[in-house]
Amino acid sequence: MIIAELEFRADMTTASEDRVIGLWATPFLHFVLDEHETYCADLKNLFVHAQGSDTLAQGGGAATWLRENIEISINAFLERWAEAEIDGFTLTGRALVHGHGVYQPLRNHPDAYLSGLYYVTAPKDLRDDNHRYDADTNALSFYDPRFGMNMGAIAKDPNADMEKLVRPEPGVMTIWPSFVDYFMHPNLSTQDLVAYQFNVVVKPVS
Amino acid sequence: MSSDPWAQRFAQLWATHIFERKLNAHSENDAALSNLILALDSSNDDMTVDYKGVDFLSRPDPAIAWLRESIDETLRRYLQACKITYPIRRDIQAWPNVNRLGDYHGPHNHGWSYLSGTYYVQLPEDNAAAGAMHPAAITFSDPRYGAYRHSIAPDANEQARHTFYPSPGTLLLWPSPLTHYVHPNHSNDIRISISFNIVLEWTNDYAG
Repeated sequence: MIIAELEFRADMTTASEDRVIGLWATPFLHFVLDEHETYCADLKNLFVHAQGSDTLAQGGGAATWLRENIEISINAFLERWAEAEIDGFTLTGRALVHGHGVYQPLRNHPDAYLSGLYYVTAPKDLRDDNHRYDADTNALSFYDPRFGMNMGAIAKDPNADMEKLVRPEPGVMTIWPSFVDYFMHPNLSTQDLVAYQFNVVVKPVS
Repeated sequence: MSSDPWAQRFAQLWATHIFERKLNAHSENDAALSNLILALDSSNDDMTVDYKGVDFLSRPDPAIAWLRESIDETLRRYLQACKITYPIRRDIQAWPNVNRLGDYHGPHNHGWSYLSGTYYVQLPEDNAAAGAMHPAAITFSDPRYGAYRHSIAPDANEQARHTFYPSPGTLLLWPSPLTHYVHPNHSNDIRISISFNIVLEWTNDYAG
């Protein structure tokens, strides 16, 4: 084997006949909901008192606002990426209240088509002073579903980064395909994390 | 700037990139490559199978020198597209393939390599696709195992395979872990290609 350094050329331009074909990308929706401050206190109060139950189904005020925005986001996702011919979808969810130290282990949601999480509150303070700078309290990490693709990758190439990190902020909405593995980092704060987590089951046209 | 607020909210993560080029001056070199490969094939019944350790590009032949430089040029363009500007130390290990009637390469990938590729020297013209069969073509598989099973037609995950129908002069380059296979040749005409692995020697720049 002859290892030699590849020389770059300053005059090189992209040839018109070159074609880069991007295949099998994984779609991901991530944005901050407008008016989230208006409903933050009501949602926090609602979820803290109704952990684990599908509180959005009860309707009313902030719950209705969040449910409508989740449905709008799901429809946008389905229109822009899935283009699936469906006969509606079912939304199920639960309130999350994570006290200090609580996290969600690596997982995916095999019985759903899309999954999502909405941050109501996102405490960033650290209760203890021993944590390393790489602690991403309450963040969501998503992992490249192309298992092993990063193993031979080098810095800056499109396969090098296997992790997509979403830092927690109040009002952040994320929706992703349910087969994607994710990890919710531990809450290292003195305060509770409050969020709403949901699954979308679509009904295909028969 | 798009006025659609949703356009800014969607990301496409972890796409798998395949680089396709049509090499300049291929017609002047393909005949020489074809003759050379067929001469090698006539002296070794297992030439296409015995690819390990073959150093095809080291042969002193102008057409091979042209191909080696073309592969390097392709690698430069790939790295440029990635905005990789640090030094790359690489070797290119290449081997020729001759597929006659019925010959194929089953699904596989290439370990211990960074990128892999194939240059197409000669392809049968009478290999019409029929149904699920794509004679002499190359097909790549979605590396997101499970995504296909999750799909609802016609969503973007429905197609777990992508097939290329190369012509002489085409060079394909892809990440080495990507599973691919070459369909059987259904023609009496032979299919000649040159596959290669780009192997890197470690430098700390690769870690970012």
